[in-house]
Amino acid sequence: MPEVYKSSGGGQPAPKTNQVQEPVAEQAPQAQSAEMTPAQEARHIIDDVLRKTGEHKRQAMAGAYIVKPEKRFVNEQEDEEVVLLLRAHPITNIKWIMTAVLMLILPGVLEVTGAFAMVPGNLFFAGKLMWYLVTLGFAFEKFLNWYYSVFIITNERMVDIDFVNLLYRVVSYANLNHIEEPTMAVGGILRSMFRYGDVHVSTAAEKSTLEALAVPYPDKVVNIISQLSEELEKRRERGE
Amino acid sequence: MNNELIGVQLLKSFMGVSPWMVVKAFMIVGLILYMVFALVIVKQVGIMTESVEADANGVVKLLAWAHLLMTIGVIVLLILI
Repeated sequence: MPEVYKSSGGGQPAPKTNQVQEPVAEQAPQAQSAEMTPAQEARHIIDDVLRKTGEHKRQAMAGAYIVKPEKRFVNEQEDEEVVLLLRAHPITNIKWIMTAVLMLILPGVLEVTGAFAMVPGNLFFAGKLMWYLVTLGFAFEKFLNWYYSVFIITNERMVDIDFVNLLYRVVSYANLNHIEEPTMAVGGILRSMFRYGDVHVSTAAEKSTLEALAVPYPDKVVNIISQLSEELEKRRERGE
Repeated sequence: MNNELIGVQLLKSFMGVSPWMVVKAFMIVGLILYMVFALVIVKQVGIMTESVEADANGVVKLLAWAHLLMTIGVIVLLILI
């Protein structure tokens, strides 16, 4: 695993101790969880939540909706496991893809119409190469912004990584036990047809809302967030 | 007086330059600026791949470098033709 994905603070594995657990009758229902390591317990909770929400390990919508991706992200803690990795629905890329296709065919069209007939051949060729290079740069930048702007839900928190443009990155975190009820918004023909929408999660902090915009299956996302939050609450009540 | 002479001399020297040479010079300047953009992409891809572990990380890095190299290639080509 690359070093960069490891959290610098926290997340250190618990030191091994030689404590002997006394058998107590009241602890019997928790015996299974007491034997499990934090990572095993996290996996157990995730599987439980996914079972309740009718989900399983899978990848859909060209990588825009990945359940249990087994991928790391920046500042991830050791006992943290990614449950959902979301990107904007691939259909949201249609605008720039169409633009790129138009840019690709434009030199050919202009050549046929004879608009550049008086331009020397070698200069026209270099100009065409330059144009295709700009088209590649445009499409590549748009793809990067889509591919790396992700919304991650782990068993502990939510992470929103947004690349607004090539030079501006926003990373927001929210613990699942600090969130209010998540909401979703789906509207319009395209969104209803392709089943994508916005998920808003407000946190206890002032003016702090995490947004997963145009993500696939927003209803399932909200359900998973609610279930995970509930599980965390239960754990907290049990004093785990 | 002196300034006028310099101006006339410059004008005369430019009179012999083909307009396509001026276009070519502008294209080279434009491509050099574009190369800076290509360098920014390479740098940014590094940051992006560090942020999220993804299947396409290797391909994306390769594409960013290929894009930069292609830009340099087109600049060289434009200077040579």
